[in-house]
Amino acid sequence: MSAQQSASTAVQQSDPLALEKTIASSLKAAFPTAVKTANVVRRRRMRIECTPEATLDVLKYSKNQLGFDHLNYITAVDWGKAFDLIYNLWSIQKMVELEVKTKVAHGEKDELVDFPTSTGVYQAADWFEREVYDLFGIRFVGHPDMRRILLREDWTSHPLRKLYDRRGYPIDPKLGQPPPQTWRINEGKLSLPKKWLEEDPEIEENILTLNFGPHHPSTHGPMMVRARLDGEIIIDADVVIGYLHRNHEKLGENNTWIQLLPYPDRTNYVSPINWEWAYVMAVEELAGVEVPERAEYIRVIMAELDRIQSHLMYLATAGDAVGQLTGFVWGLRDRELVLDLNEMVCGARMLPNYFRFGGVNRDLPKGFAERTRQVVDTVEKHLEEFSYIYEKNPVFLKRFEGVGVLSPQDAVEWGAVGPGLRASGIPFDVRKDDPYSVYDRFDFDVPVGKHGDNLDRFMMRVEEIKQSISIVRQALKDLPSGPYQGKAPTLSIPEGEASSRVETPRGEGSYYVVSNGSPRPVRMKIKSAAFINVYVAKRMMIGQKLQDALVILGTWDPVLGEIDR
Amino acid sequence: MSYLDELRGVVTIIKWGQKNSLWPLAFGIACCAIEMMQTGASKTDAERLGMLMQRASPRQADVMIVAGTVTKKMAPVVRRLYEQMLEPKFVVSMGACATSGGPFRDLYDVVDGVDDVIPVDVYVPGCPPRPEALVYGLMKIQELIDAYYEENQNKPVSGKLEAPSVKPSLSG
Repeated sequence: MSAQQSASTAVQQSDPLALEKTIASSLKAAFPTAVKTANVVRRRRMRIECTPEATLDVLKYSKNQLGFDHLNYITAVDWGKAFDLIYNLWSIQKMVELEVKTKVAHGEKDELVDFPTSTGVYQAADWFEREVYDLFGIRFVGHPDMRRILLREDWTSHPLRKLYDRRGYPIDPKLGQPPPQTWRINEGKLSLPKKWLEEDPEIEENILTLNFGPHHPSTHGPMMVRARLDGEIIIDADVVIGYLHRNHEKLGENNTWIQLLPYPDRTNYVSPINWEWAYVMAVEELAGVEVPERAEYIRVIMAELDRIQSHLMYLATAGDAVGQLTGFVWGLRDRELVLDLNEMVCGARMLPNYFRFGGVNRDLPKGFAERTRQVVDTVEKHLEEFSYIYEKNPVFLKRFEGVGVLSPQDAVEWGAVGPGLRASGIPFDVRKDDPYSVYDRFDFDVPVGKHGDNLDRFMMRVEEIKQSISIVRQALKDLPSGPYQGKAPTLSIPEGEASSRVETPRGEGSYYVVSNGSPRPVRMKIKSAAFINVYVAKRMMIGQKLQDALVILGTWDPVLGEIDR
Repeated sequence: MSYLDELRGVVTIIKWGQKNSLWPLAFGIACCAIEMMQTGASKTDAERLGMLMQRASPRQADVMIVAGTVTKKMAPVVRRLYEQMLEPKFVVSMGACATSGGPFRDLYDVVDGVDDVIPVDVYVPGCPPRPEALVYGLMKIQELIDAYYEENQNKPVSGKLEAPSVKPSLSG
């Protein structure tokens, strides 16, 4: 990996866009008629447009010949008469991103549109396609389990289509159906996975289907797991999400750009600042805004503090999952220290709403640097204490060591991101591989695991806290003076589309925004890291014991606000 | 004969017990759940006030803290959990979302306030409310418990404890 990394940087030194141009031209050469355009957007990012019929072949070619092994997301944009269906791919080897775009025509009414599934190419497409089906009404033919994923199953409409208003009612009543308006106890019954129904409907005597959730202390929020048990071994599992689907994406189309600033906080409420950054970065790229150097440093400091507190939250909940309540209380105690810093900087303790387009809301207060140094010193000292109740504790190790092993191949194939992917031995970190802001100026390591078990995923968080502490110290030392806010448009953003990539504590988070020059976005897609990580956790549960399944789910650190959006 | 008749002298003790060891149903849905966890953790430490946090089962809980946005998919579950709780039961609506839909009001999958689904006794404002605010809200619940028992104690002997009625116009 590192050899290839240095080789690719050597190529890029001569022509920074050489690799991207080679890939774009090879795609164009392989599909001369099907690929209409192949552009290099910026470094490490390409966009191609192809015909709907050839999309699957292009995806297959990209995966097998060009090495785009990681599916980031699938989404759609409704343009009134046709959808843009977008596949976002990433190559872990070459560290480049490819966006495959295709047009799918649809009628005036809210009717399903058929499109071939890509689950045969990327297994990670499973949940992404269910999401597009749920919100847009594109039915993927050949998908193994085409059910709604976020909304209740008695919905008949597809609310992200443009013919619906923000409340989900059709603007022209003839064209669509209203949303369900009641919520009695037995409404919105869940249907079973197709695979389960196809099997013998007379369930064997020794197979039990156990539901837990949506109200359950170990699911980290309203999420439901339906496990089919043979004794205490899970032979198949179905994870039901969507209980916290707060319509961020529809909200994005109904508010102005600046009004949307507080919402990324609420997308992932455990690591709000990193998500603010993802949104702000996407809009800045769209509008071509320059960020002053001091603002970049302040952002790095705040984002790394945010990572520290988010991982401390993980240390707390990891204790909770195995009955180690001391760890729970200690984790939350240390997290308070960082929340106090948030309060010092911007007045709010948990959801700060601190970033602005082109900078931050206000300068760092007096005494912030000293206080921050004290806090990171304290956290560093406490990590030593944590090690005695966690990784040096034999009872804890029994539940974590060697349990829930994820191989690197499966991790990539199922689309895992973040510490969970790195625990399986793949050093993919956006801060290193696609550096944004001023991250290339700091000296830090990307911790990588060896075995891919629960303990490795746990230790990734501990190591990352140490790295973040080091980054915070370096940034405080080099913090330049100057303005903290650059010039930025507030109301109208130029026409176009842009996407950002940020290494959030749970993995790569990204905003994909489309503007037509009006004060409101046409589309705001949030690529959630936790969404795909829960899909991976669901695949990993199969074959495990019931009590281990919850611990495995916990090691992916799910945050339901981010999963359901 | 109501059981109250036999237990008239004991009611004071029941009231004292319930009031001073509130067991909330930890019903974390969204962002407010994180602040609710902090309320039970070391800095705010609601257990000093007897508010033992994190009851996972509705059958053991006195008060339900609805901490977060209630969606149409979640609303039937909220209703079911409420009905599984034992009388007398109280509900705290924590944060802007549970109170009115908050920043997510008027969206296709969001219920505009949990009081469309279950009756609410105390609303705690904030987005999210600070832990101190939640503790204050729970102390308001303690006052309501006082009032509840006094009201029922002064009723005629044949009276029985009545469930707080659900608003008739509700969708449930």
